[in-house]
Amino acid sequence: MNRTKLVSALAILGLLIATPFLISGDHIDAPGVTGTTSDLTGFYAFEGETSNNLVLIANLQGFLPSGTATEGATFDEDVLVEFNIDTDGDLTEDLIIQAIKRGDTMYFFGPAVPSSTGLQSEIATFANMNKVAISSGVSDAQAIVAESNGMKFFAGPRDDPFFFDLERFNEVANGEVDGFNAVGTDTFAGTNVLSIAIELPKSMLGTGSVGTNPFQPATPVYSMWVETKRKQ
Amino acid sequence: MKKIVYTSLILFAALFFVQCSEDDNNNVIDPDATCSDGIQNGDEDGIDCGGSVCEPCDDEPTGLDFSGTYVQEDQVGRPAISRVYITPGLSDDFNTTIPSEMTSVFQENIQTNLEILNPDFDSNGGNGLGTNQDAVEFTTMLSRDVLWVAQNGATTFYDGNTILTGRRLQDDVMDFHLRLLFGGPDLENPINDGSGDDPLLISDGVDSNDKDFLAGFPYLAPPF
Repeated sequence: MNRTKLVSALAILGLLIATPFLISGDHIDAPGVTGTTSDLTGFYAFEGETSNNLVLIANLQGFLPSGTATEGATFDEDVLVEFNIDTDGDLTEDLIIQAIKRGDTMYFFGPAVPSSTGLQSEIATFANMNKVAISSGVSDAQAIVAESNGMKFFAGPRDDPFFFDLERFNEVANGEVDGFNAVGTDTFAGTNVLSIAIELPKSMLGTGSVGTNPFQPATPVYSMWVETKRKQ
Repeated sequence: MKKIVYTSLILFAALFFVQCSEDDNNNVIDPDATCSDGIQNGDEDGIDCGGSVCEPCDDEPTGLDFSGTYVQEDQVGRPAISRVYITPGLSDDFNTTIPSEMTSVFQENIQTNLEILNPDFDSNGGNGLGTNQDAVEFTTMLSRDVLWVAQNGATTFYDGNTILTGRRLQDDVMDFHLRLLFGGPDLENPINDGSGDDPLLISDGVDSNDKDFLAGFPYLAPPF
């Protein structure tokens, strides 16, 4: 058995064992997705190491403790992760980048003009396709990175980059305490998520829209969000 | 437990057979296989490509099904909008509302929750954005739950200078949320900062991640 197949086998065994521990997520947002494989926990978009590139990161399935739960957590082949990019400021996606798992591999399509916008999608198989082997969830595992067509790709478990004293926030919001502690407790410390990361040249997204961000009106801006969509 | 083990074995066996190509030689990688010998050997997915050693194959994978219709279940633009500002019973609806319709459907709900969290928001002078947004202006902006990402220049949720031009891993996004919610009209000298008799409401006291990020792709820290 080679390493990839071993990881897959562990993933399947782990999923059966780990499911009861996936008790909350989206940084706890909605009952319809909490604890499910479509539960988004965070979206990040920033300039890469070189100013020509942007990095997009979507995280799913939060609060995975180290060990079996993380090693066994798997992306769902029925869940499409879709990065939406509105370039003209009308809050409708002009470009999409899609990611979906098949076997031990994450497949990426786009950036491409979607065949339709909104709540339903088909996979953009007409678009540029790339892929990367899904990385291991073993503690401190190296990331497997694929580079193709000028883009970089990653998929697999990573430390949850989010940090917040959520428990204290809940107490503040419920009126149980007056305020936060000067030194808080990171509710997300020591927990992992499933991450999908893409780095791509800004030139692939074209020109953003000026006037969209009122605090930087002269700067061209992309409006971005990420969605999960389940196969019907 | 026995049943789980058997189920796992069956699942594993299914996976094993699906993934082994016919010339796979009982799943043992041929040590002599190379990525330039012009034949599909070792664990290659095609001729000299794919598998654990060679570069991925460029051609469309055979036998993979990308058909069908996918329907939305969750979405996220700016961090924590759903969690902080949407009434819990409405969050599934929020997650399946397209951004261009979010203001008409959810601005009122977001404003209600803003004013529950901070009844003094408007009487304190609004927030520190622009010429001081009042509750209606602020929640209208929040209700369009997309992340603005600058094409040029700094990309940060807030770095003490640049406002809402992206989201870096290290950005303390929740402190910025709290500052807009509780800090009053002066972004750089917020009220509710824990001094004197004021409670500390503009920071949760957690300023950074518990693991260092990487300098290069994928930037995220390895799993615990």
